[in-house]
Amino acid sequence: MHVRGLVIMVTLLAALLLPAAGGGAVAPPPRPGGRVVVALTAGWDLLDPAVAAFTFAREIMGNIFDPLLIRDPDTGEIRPGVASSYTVSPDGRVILLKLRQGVRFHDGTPLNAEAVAFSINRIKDPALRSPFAATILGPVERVETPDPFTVQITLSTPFAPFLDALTEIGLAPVSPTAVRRFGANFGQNPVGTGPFIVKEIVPNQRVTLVRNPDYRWAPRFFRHPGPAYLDELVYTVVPEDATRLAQLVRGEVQVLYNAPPREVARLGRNPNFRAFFKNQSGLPRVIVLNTSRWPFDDLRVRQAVAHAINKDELLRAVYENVGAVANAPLSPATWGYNKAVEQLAQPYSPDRARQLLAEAGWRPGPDGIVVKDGRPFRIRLGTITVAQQLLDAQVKQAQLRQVGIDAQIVAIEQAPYLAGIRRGEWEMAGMLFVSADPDVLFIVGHSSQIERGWNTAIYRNAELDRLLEEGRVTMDPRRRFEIYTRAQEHLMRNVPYIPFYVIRRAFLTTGNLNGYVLDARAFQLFHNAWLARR
Amino acid sequence: MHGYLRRRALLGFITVLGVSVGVFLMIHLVPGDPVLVMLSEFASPADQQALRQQLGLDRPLYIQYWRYLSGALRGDLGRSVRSNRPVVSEIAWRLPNTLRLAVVATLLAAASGGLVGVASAVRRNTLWDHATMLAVLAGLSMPSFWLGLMLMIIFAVRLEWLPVAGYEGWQYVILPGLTLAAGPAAVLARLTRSSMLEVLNQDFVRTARAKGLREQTVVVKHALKNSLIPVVTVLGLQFGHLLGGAVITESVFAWPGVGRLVVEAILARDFPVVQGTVLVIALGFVLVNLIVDVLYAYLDPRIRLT
Repeated sequence: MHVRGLVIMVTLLAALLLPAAGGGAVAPPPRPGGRVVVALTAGWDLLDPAVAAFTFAREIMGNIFDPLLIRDPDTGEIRPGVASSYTVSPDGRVILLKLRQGVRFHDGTPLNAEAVAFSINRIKDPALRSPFAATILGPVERVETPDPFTVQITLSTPFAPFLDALTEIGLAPVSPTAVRRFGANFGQNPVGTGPFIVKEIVPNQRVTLVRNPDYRWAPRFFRHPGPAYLDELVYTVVPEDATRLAQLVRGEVQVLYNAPPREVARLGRNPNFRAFFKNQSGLPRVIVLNTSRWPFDDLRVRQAVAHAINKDELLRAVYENVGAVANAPLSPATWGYNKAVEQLAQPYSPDRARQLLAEAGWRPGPDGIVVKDGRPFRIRLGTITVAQQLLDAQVKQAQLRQVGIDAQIVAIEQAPYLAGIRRGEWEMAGMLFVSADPDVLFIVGHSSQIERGWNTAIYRNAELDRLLEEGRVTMDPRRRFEIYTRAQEHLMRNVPYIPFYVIRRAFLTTGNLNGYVLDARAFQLFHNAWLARR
Repeated sequence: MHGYLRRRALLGFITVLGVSVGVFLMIHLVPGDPVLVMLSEFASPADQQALRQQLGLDRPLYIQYWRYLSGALRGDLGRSVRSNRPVVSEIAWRLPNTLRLAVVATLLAAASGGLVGVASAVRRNTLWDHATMLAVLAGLSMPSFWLGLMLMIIFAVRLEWLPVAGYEGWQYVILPGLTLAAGPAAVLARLTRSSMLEVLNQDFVRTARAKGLREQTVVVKHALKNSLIPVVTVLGLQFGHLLGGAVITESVFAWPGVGRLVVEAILARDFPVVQGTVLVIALGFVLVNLIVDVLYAYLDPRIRLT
């Protein structure tokens, strides 16, 4: 479609809209009632935690289902969900969950150990073809129910990310009664224990939820355990940004999911609107250096590139100052991030970069490109054909040119690009990986993940492998934190990846919406949300 | 007449069949594995193979096509890869939306384009004629997303007369209807004008005038009816296009029609939905063409459908 035209239109529209907006609001105590409409940019597949794969399905389900455990939205720590406590056996293989009592599904079925065991076993059933939940479930061997409110999960090997998986909506308990009744159509008739009940689903167009009047088990960080304040919560699909903005201004919708950053920055200053931001967790945007071959098989050359990249300039020129500079292999929004690691980041210094290149034997050539053994420093920089990523590549190309490196941009579509970086097709490329658990470093750093996973730097190191394996099986959070600090330090010193940008997701709401929470994965929770009178 | 209809129905059937073969082949030749869409990249090769078998994707293409065709003849277009709902029901609730929009846009286009065209022909080379033909040029060259957003800003955001986007209720159809009508209305205005000019210069019009008939009767009863044949052809084609869904307008107004369905399905590699929707669109086109041909006979008794 006419992308550039649309961008201009969005801006123009916003400029025309602003003066038309009405009065502001100050927040008195929570007021029950009202209806909030959220505009999503695309549809979903099925609202069945075990089967859903689409991001927006996870988004909507977060208000219909309750996860067993939940990450604190601010600190990222794992807290009780409908499981009031958990213990892990010393060998890390047995997880004991104590369930809250008195929790009921929307259809009246009690949430007990049997329902939890049923929900987990359902994911394991190959006939269900679970695309996402089965992937995060990990090595679950068996699920037992020693008493009605205790669930004992035995893993075949210790697997620390399992606790993170329990905070995912994908493993949230589903009503066994409803699953037996609806079978494969459960996703069109979802029944959970969450603060909202499904009233109507119009596939890929609209979901209408109503308050669950019996809800009394909200996670502690909400500060009010009882039913949600809103009468109705509606999700609609509005693909065009300009239309969503117009609807927000007109009051037809109250929340824009993933609002265009430029508009967020602008409308966020207007008292009639509120902007919310959340850093994306996981591996931030990194430059991938193919460590398996010339020229990045030399550590000094990798360090030189890291010094040559001006991250502030990238943030400003490419990402319009929305987001942050990344100086660690884990985004600050990820549990396991340690600020101390950032000291190891190579600061921007073209002089230091040139010096390192000289130490590695590179001499300035006739055209300004450095040369070693008669071979000029000419590499390929792989990227996808999205305008922003092309710009990103061009800025890096100019920065590298300053130190005598000639990067030639290879731009292709996303699917072949992803296949290409997995094979290590280009000397340099770009990547990010969304995750709430530091085990993401295993996927991008362990030698077993070359080609199979996402170790696209093709980096092999026994010490890092050992750390990442240990991190997977260490259940003690303090010990685990130390391990990932060391793994991050290793990655910063050895530079297979150069982290440079933390994505910030942006949300825009009307000024009268209060108590709105973005969870640790930047999904929206509406249990606490309420509308002030305008 | 009946023989003609039978022959046309057969031809239409062959056309739809051809479309189904074409779409089927195209979808299966385009890279992008529906199994990976359904399972995520992390699924084991064994799981992928199992699903491929379950969907019959491991069978030769002609067997897959035969299965698809025999299902379609029984009204079963398969299930959506994405939502696991029957394709027929995915299309069924969107089709009335598309129809509603297409009918409104066509009526608006026919009424405004026809009126402007007749008026311009009658007052040829006046200021009115030049002004409207300029407006027609504008209508032809305005991109629909621009026009749609402009109408939205003026009538929904500024004046607050109409809602911005949505689809339940008559007020929601007006802005997308106007947006869609602009292009066809401009085409029809030009066509009606030139067709009318041609007819107005013919002998029977001069005769009608010579008989002393009122100018209004001459224009409406004698000239207009005779100038409608090319207009009806184009109107039918435009309506056929609208039935195929107006993707951009549907996106701008968040209107759940078949156009958006097919685009979303293509992006999600939801091939049963793509196949089914294209088949239904082709069927619509064939039907509209048939109706247009039948209308010819009504408009011009010289045309016999045999």
